[in-house]
Amino acid sequence: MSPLHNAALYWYAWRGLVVKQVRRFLRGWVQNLLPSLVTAVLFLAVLGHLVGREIGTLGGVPYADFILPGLVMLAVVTNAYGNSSLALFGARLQRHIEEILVAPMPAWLLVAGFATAGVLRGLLAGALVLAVALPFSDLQLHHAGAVLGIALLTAVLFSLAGLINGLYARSFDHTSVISTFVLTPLIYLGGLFYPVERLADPWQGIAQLNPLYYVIEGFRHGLLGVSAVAWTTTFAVLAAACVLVAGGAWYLLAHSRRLRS
Amino acid sequence: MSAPAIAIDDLAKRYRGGRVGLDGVSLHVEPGAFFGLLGPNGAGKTTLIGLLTSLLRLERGTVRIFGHDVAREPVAARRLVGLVPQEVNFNSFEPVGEIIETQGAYYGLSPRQARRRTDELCERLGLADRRRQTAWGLSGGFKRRLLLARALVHQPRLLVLDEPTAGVDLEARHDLWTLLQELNADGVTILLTTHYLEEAERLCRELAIIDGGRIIARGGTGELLRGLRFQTLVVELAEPLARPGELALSAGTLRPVDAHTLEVDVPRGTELNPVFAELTAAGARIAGLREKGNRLETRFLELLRERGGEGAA
Ligand SMILES: Nc1ncnc2c1ncn2[C@@H]1O[C@H](COP(=O)(O)OP(=O)(O)OP(=O)(O)O)[C@@H](O)[C@H]1O
Ligand SMILES: [Mg+2]
Repeated sequence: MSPLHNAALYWYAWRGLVVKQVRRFLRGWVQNLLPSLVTAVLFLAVLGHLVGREIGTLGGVPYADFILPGLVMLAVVTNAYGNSSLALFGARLQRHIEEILVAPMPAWLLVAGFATAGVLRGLLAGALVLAVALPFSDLQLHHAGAVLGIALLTAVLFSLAGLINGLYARSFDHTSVISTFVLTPLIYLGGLFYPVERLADPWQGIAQLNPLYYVIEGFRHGLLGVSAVAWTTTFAVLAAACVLVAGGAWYLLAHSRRLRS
Repeated sequence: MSAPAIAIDDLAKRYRGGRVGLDGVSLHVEPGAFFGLLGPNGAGKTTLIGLLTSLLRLERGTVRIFGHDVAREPVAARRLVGLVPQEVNFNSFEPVGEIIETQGAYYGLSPRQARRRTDELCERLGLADRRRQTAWGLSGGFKRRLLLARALVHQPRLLVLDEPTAGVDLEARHDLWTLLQELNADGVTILLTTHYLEEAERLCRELAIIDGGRIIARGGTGELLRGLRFQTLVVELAEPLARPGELALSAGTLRPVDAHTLEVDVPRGTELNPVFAELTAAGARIAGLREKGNRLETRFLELLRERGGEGAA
């Protein structure tokens, strides 16, 4: 078999994985995409506009604009993570993962296919949040490349992490527990609502141990031009984390007895 | 010489918890064969198929498909195989057509090729009307047809079927048999497991019988049947015998079943005329005669019994 032949095989197989899962999350858009949008709209309306009127500006921008980057990242992270973990767990539970296990697909392709679908859902959710917020804001996009790059890498990172979650989950609850009890609180505490630098010690130091703080701050920098962390730093750290987690996900999926007993 | 379609050597599998799935199996199947794998529940048939199709992790032994080692050349090996699994394993929320097309994509078909193949298979397997419907609503028999369509989408050279006719009505079963025979005539090698021995006897040219994770018999279907030592004849009587209990045969044993029926066990190859002569002499008026049950079934039970005896010894 020629390498070219294999390349075509892998391309169609990858495409098959992605199309199947995108169809799945679009079919269930009410439970898959709407919740993130509702959360973001509520925060923007209640906190951004009602409470925000009392607060005025923060870091030189209106409060509603200040919280927007964090809300977009919340949507990206939870959707990318949730899609991968649920898709893999569901495929194991219903056993249609076997359709993939019998097929001529190396483990890395399986990882790539599932991760891509999660990335697409994460980016779609983030874009929707941005789309509903923009009409009510007059923010000037600071750096489009940074915004796209950080959103993409964040989606990749959490989609891959969700895949590992989906591999180890033993029930549907296990697919949402990390998202609800770890990721969402870390985003709330990572400077979504307030500038972490204004916290008193030791809280500031503690907050800066939160990896999601750098994600939000980097994205805020790209979107608004104001931030405590340069987007380039965030970008570099995210890229490194993606490589590490991708390697981990590949290793675990290739060798796990949870896929092939 | 072309490589065997299946070359399994010293294959063993132990599940977590120590349960033995396979215990040292070697099996070679030539290209073009129609091969049956028989054995009681828990014998290891599905385990063997799982190792053949990469659903299970290979632990000991080797499996080669048309010369490609499934562990070392998984891509080359897997693309030659199509699997109809024992249990339904598609996503029931997806439409029938999408399930087949997606599987085509997994095997490297372009969207257009996958759609064309799906058209053909839906037509051939009577799924055309149900193509847009979700698999959820299919009846059991149609679910099995969907499994078969999915297995055939990439035109595999080896088709592996794990109890494909369980729960399928008589007509659909005959359709399936015809289809399998056509595929085989076109050169597709077929490995099939079944609990319907009639099916195995009718379709398979070669058989292996597996029990307790080991192959206990292997050979041509005819050859295995020749190993059958007795045949049982069912004799229907026009009127009841006066004293059936006193009747004895020189060339077999006789059991009255009811007033009008006798069963006669005779060694295979016995000439039957003297048997009838003895029956006639004893006053029996023979109204009907047939061979009892399925020959393969008898042989199968015989083999399992022999092996049970060995195990106990
Ligand atoms: N996932 C598993 N975990 C533990 N043991 C298993 C598993 N799958 C099969 N076994 C055991 O391995 C042995 C062989 O099972 P297998 O499913 O291969 O039998 P089979 O011949 O296909 O039976 P059947 O005719 O009932 O389908 C059995 O003892 C079974 O209990
Ligand atoms: Mg089985």
